[in-house]
Amino acid sequence: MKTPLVLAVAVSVLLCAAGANAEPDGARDSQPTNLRGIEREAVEPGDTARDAANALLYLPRESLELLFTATGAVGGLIEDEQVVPRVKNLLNPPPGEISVFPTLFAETGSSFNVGARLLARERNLASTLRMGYGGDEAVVVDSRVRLALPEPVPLALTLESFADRQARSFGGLGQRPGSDDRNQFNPGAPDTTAFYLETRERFITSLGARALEDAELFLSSSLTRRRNEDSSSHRDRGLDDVFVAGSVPGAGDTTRLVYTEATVRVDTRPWRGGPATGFLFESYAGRSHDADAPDHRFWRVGGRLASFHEVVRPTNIVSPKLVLDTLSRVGDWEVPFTELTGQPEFRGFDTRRDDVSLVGSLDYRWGIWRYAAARIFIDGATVAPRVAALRLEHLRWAGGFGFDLFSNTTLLGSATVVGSPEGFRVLMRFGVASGFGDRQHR
Amino acid sequence: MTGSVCRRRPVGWMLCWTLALACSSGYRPARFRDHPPITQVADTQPTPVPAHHRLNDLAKLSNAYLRLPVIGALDASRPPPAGDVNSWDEVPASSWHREPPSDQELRSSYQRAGPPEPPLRVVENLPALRRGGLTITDRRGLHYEVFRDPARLAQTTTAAAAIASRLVHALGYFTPEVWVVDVSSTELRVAPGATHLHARLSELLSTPSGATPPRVRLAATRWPGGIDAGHTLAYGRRDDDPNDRVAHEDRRTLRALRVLAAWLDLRRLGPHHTRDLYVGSPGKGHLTHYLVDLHGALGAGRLRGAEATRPIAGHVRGNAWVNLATLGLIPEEQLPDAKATTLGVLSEQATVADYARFYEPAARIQPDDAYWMVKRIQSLSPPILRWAVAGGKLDDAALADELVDKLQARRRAILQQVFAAVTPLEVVSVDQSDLVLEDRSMRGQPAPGQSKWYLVRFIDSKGAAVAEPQRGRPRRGRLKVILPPPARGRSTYLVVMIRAEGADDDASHFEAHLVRETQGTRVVGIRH
Repeated sequence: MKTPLVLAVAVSVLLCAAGANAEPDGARDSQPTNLRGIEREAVEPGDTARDAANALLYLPRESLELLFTATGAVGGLIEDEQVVPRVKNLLNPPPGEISVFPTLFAETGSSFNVGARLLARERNLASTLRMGYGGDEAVVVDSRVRLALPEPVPLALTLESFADRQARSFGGLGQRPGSDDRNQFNPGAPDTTAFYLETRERFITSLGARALEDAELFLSSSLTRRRNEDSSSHRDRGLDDVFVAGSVPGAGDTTRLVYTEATVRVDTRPWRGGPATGFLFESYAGRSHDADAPDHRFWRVGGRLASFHEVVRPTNIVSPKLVLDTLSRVGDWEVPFTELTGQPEFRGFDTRRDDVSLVGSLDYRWGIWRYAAARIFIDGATVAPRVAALRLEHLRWAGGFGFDLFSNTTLLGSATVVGSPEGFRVLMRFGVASGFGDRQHR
Repeated sequence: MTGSVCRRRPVGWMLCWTLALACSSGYRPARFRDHPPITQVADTQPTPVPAHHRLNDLAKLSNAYLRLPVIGALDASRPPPAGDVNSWDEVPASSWHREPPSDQELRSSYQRAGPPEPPLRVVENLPALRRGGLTITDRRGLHYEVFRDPARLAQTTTAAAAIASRLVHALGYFTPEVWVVDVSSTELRVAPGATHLHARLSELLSTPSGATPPRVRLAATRWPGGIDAGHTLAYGRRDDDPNDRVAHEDRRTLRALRVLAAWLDLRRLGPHHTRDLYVGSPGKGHLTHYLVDLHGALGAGRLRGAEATRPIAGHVRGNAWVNLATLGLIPEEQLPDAKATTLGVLSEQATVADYARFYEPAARIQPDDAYWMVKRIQSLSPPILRWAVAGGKLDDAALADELVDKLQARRRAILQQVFAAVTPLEVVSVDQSDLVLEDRSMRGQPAPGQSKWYLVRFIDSKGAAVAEPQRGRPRRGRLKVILPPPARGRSTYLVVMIRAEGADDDASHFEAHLVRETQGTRVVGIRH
């Protein structure tokens, strides 16, 4: 009986002593609770209701918190790997940082895509893994590793692997596919646009160097495997339903192409984010061949030219731009339709395919606030089988209005409404646009 | 009947339950420990050297413009009180803030190194407090960072940096010394081996026409010493600093910067104005937190072309909606202040709510945080203001006088706004029968007739009234509250709650928490 009593007393004494030791000395303390000297918090009228409301709002609040973190902070860090940073802009993140973020994307005409992104960084090395799911016909897995070195010249080495499955469309060759003799439509086809499900796997290695303050050199090489098949969500409108069977090169086939490209880019704008004056010139040349048949090959050559001029204020910029992309066939190999030149620079509906594409645009962009600018623009686009055949008749056009948000160095996101004779389009993007080397990501 | 409805419908039951709980809760004051207030925070314990935190624009923007307003709208809880205050509602000395120096100590405490002494050498590989700052060492080998006024804006940003630095120091914040110096071009050279810095030096010295004047006016910021740990986080705590115990958005020293920004017209206050420096040898030192890069104060940031670095979208000026509607085609010359070229652009009007809305700690400022700052600003005497303005070395004496006057006018405007949101009383003395308080809103007010009536209530620690309320009116700035008789033979906890009659509905009341014993009465807690 005595022993437990002694033990209890001893424990009590020890606890009391520990409590006494935890007491601050009265003059110095760093524990916030001790510092404020409060042993019981006040209760205000309505606190209970606030707590109840907070409990109800917990899920949406935390979900949005994660979403903002993912899209805002991480998106830009990861997706600008195609740009060789200026020395002063090279990231120097805290070492050993690993983060996981949920992702959510929405786009007009497609289903929600949900997923997650994992980011790991160790000094100049960054890697990311992204997975997204928007239904059976919208799946993407993307992995990238990037090494950035500031000396002797800024260098960026990137390794990427990518896999996705997306439903896509093909409306035939030429600016006016309906009257282009190269297209052989089935007379009984319900429409002239065919749909197919494309599965891609791609590996890209790229090396970029900023040789001069305003000049970047870029070498990249990729191996892409594409397989196209009928889309389950567009029955009766498959490639063989809309076109005469066998008339579309590569329809129903699997291709494995190696594409190697060299690009030079001169951009005198001090930054790519906000409005800035300057001059942009980019030129590229790339060679693609079938991994299983090296004789099956073609070339891509092209470039873009743009200038940026101040209007009334330094933050008002008018910019004309011209983009030319060409595909040169070698020999008599029929280039798969999935490799034909498209028009991603055209902000209307990118539905035309051919060997040569020309897109012109005129943008007026004006700063409305420190981190935001508005933009009005008009685009014109045409395609042709060769450069000499480019004509301005039947030019497709689109015009629109939008807002941009940007950081010191890059465009963070944009919202744009585009109108064209084919209809209206709403484009929402959050993340950093790839600066160049885009052919690898098409 | 209601009960049966609630049983059948879970949602209805939840609403009933929520309403019942909401209605049942009344005010219960906090209870303070019976303990003297902490006057010094022990946050200078030796720590490892933390990582350098670089300001990330993306993180900053998503925090400021997305997370802050949207998540804030979904958070129904009351903003927490500041975590770095003691039981007397004061900020104890710490690595963030110290007791403001007295008028006598001010000059000596500010001038630790003094201005740089020629010859000056431009050097590299030294940390800079300002983006693009040019670092130099002087004859003594001390490290400074220099910049000059923008073209056509003589004696603006250099003067603003020097003046604001002195005022911030006088308020008790850590900030580097800034000296305006007139340097001969021949006294400033590139250090041997750093030939690639010639271009930057030429850029610093030359005029817009390309000529190099014989003498150049520079602002020289003394490097405070220590290892640069980067910008102070605007949100959360540093994981690598064990001394960092309070989330930064809940630090009064940072929250109250909103009032400071309003007083000094420091536009776009943000994390780039804060810096963490590791003081001491590695492993034995600790972080000290500085306010830096104040060159945009006193209206200098409003001047066209005054920005040290071109902001993100360039110099977007004017109202955003007007810019949008007019396609940005209103010439800048037609915008307000477009033609101003001196610090005379500083207005006499200041509205606290207009400043630092997107700096996370400042956006969470509470009336008691603002009150703490205005007490400090109010304490700065006219000679201190003149001393600070003199540090700007303005050639135009009339402009210097005008600046002093405008600083005082802005101070009055800010005091008025902040005092209206709190009950601005301070404990002067307490004994068994009386509690004497100072009305800070009457400090310096010559007319006694302007004093207002206060309603005084007495409650216990559970919020129950223990005596009849009183009405009182300060005389000569002092409000005397007659305390109810103490209980005999036992210790009691008494809360004296005071609020001005006719005050704004959302103005906070003053609370003095007293412990009363036979031997006497003492203050254990104060809330505003």
